[in-house]
Amino acid sequence: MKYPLFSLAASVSFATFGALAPAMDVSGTTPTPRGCPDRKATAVDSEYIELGPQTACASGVKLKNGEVWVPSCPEKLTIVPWHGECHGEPNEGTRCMILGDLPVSTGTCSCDSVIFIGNWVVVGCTCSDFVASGTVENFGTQDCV
Amino acid sequence: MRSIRSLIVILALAVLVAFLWRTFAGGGGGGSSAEAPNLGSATGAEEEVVDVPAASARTAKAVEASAQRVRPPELDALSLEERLAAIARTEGEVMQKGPTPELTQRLEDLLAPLFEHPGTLHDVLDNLVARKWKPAGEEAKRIDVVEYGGCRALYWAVVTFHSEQSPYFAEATGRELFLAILSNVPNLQEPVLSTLLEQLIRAEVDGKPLVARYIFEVLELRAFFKEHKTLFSEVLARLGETMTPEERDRFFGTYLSDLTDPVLIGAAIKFLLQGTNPAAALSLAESLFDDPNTPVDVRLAIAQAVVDGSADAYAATQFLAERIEQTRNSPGLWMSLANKPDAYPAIDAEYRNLLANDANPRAREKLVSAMIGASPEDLDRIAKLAYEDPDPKVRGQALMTATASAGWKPTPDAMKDLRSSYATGADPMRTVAAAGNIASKAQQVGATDVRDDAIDFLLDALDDPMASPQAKQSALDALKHHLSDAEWQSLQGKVKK
Repeated sequence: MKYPLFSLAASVSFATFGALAPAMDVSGTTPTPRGCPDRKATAVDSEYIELGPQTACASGVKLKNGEVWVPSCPEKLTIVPWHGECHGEPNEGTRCMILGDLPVSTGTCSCDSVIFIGNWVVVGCTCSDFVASGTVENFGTQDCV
Repeated sequence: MRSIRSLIVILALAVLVAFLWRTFAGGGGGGSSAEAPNLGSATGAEEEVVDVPAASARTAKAVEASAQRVRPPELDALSLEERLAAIARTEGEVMQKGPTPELTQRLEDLLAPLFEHPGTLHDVLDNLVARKWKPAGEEAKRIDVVEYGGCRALYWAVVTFHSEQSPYFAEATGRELFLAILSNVPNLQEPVLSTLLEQLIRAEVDGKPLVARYIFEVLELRAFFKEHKTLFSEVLARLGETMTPEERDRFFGTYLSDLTDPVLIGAAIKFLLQGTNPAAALSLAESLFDDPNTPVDVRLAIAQAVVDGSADAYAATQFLAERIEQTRNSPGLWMSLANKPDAYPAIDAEYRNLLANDANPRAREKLVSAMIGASPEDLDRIAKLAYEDPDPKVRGQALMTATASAGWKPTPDAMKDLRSSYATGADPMRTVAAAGNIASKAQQVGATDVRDDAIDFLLDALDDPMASPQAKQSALDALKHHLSDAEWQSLQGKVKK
């Protein structure tokens, strides 16, 4: 599995947001008593987190007058999947409930050459060899009735 | 359109310059303020009057020198689009083959006509703003090679015009172009925006970020384009990297009250932690974070700043662990902590402290996740946590952390240990994810027995009535890389949607 670091098309698998949930009743992190809190889960977009020092890729381009451009690449990339959280967003007749945990993955990154695919250009860095490194809690919205 | 924007910028600059000057430049001695141009329309004009003749003479000399060296006629005949694409492709060749004299010369020959006619560079900018060269349809989310070449040409131009060593040195021209790009930042669309902004932020002359010369303009544009202020905050954040501790105190101390801008608050905290009084900065970060009125995104920016900015790994670790309710669902914070130099002893110490009191299992789990940066010698200790910690999730995380660590090697006993942890109650979802890590790493090194054992475990998990839907989904995801499409599809029904 490889992700170009700056690609917008990188995809991650995650459980369905808003699906029905098991028994635990929470709003944010605090269990709520019986009754409807009139809250819903807030969608949190997937996040790509660059880790470690940036490595200079290749030898860069240097003009005669001394200007230099050197693309760089982080050591690792962590991908937190799209998930729901309870931020207290109001919504009549529903509650924000935990659905379970989703895996967070971390891959190692290395420099690309500048690649041209037809008319498109991909620059920088590719991250691959992703492994599950942690978890993120996923919340959804459930009707109170 | 350019002239209207320039007018807006100049007018807006005039309003705030006095205030800004009083606020942090008045004391003198600040590197950034010393480097920044003395603003105000009159001063700016004065600077142009001084620079233009010298620049013109220099440019004329460069043009003359360039004319003496006959450029290949096929390069002179290129259209603007062809030239920009050729710049991008030549850089690509340099990256692939190394900077040979021929390729460097070709790049210079492609750029020279643009440096000689700076008006063309403004046309390039206008076309980037209009996305004239964007790919059609769905592909528009990707950057076209002409657009990329345009961004690169602008990068080379602003750096070249500001560089006194360059034959094209023309500070006024460079200033005009740089400000035109800056004032167009809010009008740019992705992916051109991030490409150009990144290059603008990274541009350096004489080892210093170019944005340091435009600090007032960046501040003013940030104030003017309120809805895009975080874009300009990213530019400001770059400045802190080259400041002295005293300059950081003076500059970033003024931005702690804007709770609507997580980027700038984060930069302010980070650089104040690297200022003259890190202890005071940490207290400030704690009280801002703990204030119930602080928005969630600002809190996370503060926590990230503490992790990134604090030289004391123990303080950063405690900051996160003590605020576990707010930090536990931000894996990036814990991964950043893991990547902090020399963080492992601090993480381990905090974990032991909590374990000794059987306290805060959520924090223990996240601390164990941050042990991913451990050295190979410490991996055995992490693996032991998979048996020792009383909390099933912490034990499951220990399996994940150990198998995800760079130094971990798939041994024949790996799956035996994992099955044993599973049998004694380690969290199924995390254990399954760890088995997926083992299968992947075994595959990479050709340890087929270990890989097959891990695959068997994952297949069994799909049929385990005790495994949660999340654990089964995790097993299914991991199996995708090791089974044929048909085999994998046939397993889909085993996961309850």
